[in-house]
Amino acid sequence: MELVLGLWLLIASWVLPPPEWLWLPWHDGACGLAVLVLSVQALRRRDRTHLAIAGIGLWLVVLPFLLHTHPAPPWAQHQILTGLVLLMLGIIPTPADRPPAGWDTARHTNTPTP
Amino acid sequence: MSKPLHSMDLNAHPPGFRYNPSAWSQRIPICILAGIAFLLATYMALYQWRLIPSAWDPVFGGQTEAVLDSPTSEAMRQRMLIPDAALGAIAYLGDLLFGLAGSTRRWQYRPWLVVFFGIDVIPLGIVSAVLVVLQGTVVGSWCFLCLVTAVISLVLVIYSYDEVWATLRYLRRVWRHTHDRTLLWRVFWGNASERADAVALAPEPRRA
Repeated sequence: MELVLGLWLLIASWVLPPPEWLWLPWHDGACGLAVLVLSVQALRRRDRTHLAIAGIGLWLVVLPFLLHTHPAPPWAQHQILTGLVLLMLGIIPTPADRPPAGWDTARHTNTPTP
Repeated sequence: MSKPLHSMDLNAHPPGFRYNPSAWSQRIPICILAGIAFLLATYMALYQWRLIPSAWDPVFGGQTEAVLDSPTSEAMRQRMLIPDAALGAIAYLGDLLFGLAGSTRRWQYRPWLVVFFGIDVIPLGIVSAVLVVLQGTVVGSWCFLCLVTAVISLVLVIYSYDEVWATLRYLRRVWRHTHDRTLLWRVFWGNASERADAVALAPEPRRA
């Protein structure tokens, strides 16, 4: 799902009505690219890479508020919604259906080594 | 000492429970209900965006549109930059995603996930249900789909509280047996611990 959202971020800025800030489509494209790369990494490695996706999601939510867009144009609403979904997906580790690495490989990590 | 995944009992019952509150049989109904509420909220958001011309309401007729176009709703949109129904849809999507994530022993292995899930479902669900019921007095109109989503929110609270309760009791057991804040913090974030594992399935002492 993160991959799909990354792709969507890449193309959405060119599909939606253009924002008043010319750099925004490039910004969103860069965020989309970063999400794509991080999603692939999160699939490969069972570490905390997914939290970086949550960070990008949070940034996308905050940005329209920093730019004081009232009433919110389509790009701002799009950023908030995509950011919120990315934030939720980024919090959830990949793969989420298995116990965390510590539990399923070396369950007794606190056992002193003899 | 290591114990591979296949030898772990992912369906273990927490002490004090006759069933596993993290089992799929417990979580799938939550996800289905959250999915329905997500679709209903998305439908109302589409009306607020004027992507559809009208909002369907078999009981109160045009009152749904009056609620969705009310000054209260518009004030929320001014603050949140997106329609309130879209915000509700995101919250229900969160219920769905957090409901699906994690193994059937997440009450022990990922306490943070269950607590996040609980925060998304229980306080937000109660607040949204209260807000929807208040709309009759504040706005003076009723919205059938909003009432349906409010009922779903309350049912979700009933369905999900046992898993949150099992997780909080597990964390409390860890604290009582160890009195180690660092360990409790690590266990909350899903780090493996033999000491926490030892108390996870231990029966709780009875009160005198």
